[in-house]
Amino acid sequence: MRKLLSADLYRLKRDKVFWICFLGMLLYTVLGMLGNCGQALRDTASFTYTLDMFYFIYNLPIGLLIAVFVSMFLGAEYGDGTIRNKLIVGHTRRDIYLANLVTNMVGGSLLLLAGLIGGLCGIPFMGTWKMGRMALVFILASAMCVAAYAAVFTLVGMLCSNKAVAAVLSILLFLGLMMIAVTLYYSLAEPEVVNGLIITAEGMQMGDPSPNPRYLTGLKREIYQFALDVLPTGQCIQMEELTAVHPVRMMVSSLVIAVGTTVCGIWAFGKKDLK
Amino acid sequence: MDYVLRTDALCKSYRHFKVLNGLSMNIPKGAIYGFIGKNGAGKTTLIRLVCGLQTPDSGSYTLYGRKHTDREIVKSRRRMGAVVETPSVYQDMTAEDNLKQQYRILGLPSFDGLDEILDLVRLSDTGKKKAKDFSLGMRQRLGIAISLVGDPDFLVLDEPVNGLDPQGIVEMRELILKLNREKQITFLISSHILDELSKLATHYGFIDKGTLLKEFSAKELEAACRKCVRMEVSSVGALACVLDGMGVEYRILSENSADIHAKVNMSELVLALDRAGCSVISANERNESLESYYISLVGGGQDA
Repeated sequence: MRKLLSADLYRLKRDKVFWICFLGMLLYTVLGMLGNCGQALRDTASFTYTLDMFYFIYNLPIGLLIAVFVSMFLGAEYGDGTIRNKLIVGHTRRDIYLANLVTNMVGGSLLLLAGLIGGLCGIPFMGTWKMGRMALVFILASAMCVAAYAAVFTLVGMLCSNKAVAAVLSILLFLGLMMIAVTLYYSLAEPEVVNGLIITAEGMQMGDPSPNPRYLTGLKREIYQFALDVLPTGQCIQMEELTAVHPVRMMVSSLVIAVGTTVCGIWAFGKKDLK
Repeated sequence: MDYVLRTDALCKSYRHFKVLNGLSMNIPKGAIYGFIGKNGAGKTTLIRLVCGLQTPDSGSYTLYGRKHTDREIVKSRRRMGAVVETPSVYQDMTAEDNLKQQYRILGLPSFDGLDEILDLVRLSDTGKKKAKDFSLGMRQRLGIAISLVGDPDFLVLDEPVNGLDPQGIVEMRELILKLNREKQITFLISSHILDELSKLATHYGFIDKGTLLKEFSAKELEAACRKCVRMEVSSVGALACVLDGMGVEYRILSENSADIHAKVNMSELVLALDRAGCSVISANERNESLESYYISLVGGGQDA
């Protein structure tokens, strides 16, 4: 597998789509951080901003960028037919799959690195991290999440021989998972009580606090939270919003997703007829 | 005889359509094996199976004596190269980078021999030109160059001259013959262009509906495709009498024409026919081609 990995990493180094995604991530975090710094400088009197509050914004686009570069990277193997060269000279399907997976994980990690580096431009304006060790935990959880994304999109890319279809499927899968995560997140973010507004002749007045019927309780809340922790997109939203409460569960979920999709992927790729 | 590839009753279906139906073939070491069949006969499917891109539903094949189910088959595969359908090249890389990539895939310690391979396929002067800007012939040659990395001794080429211009076809033929003669590489070549294949092949296999109809050497084919003289005369009856008298083998085609399967003295024959009151209208030497042999074998009327 070392030989295949060396060849795949060389190709990643030359891959234009990957470097466009890398630059995109860098620009996104730099511009995002500078924009937030501008707001922080304007609002210094009313609110104290810290670097932590904006540092994890890379979590939102990273899944999409991995979907794009992985589908294009693997799609080229099918589109150009070069995956056949590897099989013909005797490499096993398992090795081919794993070498591609590791390469995609390396690519995803580099995108994460771009996000981490881009966020550093906020230090001159807001100083360094205030969350202490939790910042490292979040970064580690992000790395695990990247591995899960890479494994999921490697599965799609290796099982779909058509480059365009693989790209569309991967992006739709990401968007679908993101929509589910957003729905779960906002359902969990509902306040427990709401203050209604009463309109009287004297104007609007705050009503008495009353229980919010949309507030999730009991087992349902547990299930929603569990699903949010399991989904890579849910993990990213929670880290971006600094609301992640179960980082260990998130990391374990990412690991299970990465291993599960890889086992399924290797099995299915082994059965696949290549043309 | 040493065989590079032997298949035994190979079967492969796509959904409910049986593409290979008990195909058995034998490719001797050092041969240029011409694999002939019409569209959809199963040529490319067999090549995909042999290359490990697909697995057979039943039957088996051995590559350098190792059965396809043997874990050690990967060692046999390292001795082969292939260009299946379209050349498998990275379109955004130069010819040199494509070869280097194959060196990495094979885990070769250095790029030794790379220049020689580029020279061999006449792509050494392509510089920074990317494969996507190559002509079809150049891409085909690059595909062969990639398959030559690692010094294989068995090359599988699927329709190598498809879409090439006449110059490209000649270059491809010369390259294959050179590799066969100088490096003793065994070839399995599938092609539609039978005339071209007849200039190369030392052995032939005819496939139809997933079954190998016939397999023989070029010498055996030559014997089967005998030369003859086709004569058109005023009376085929008189011609038959004269030929019987001369003890010559012939075949009557119509009331006025017949094929003579022997070397005859034309002067004597014409004089004898004249004495029998029969005039000769025309006489042409004919050579049954690989194409006509193939047509007679599969029933004719369809493309090879």
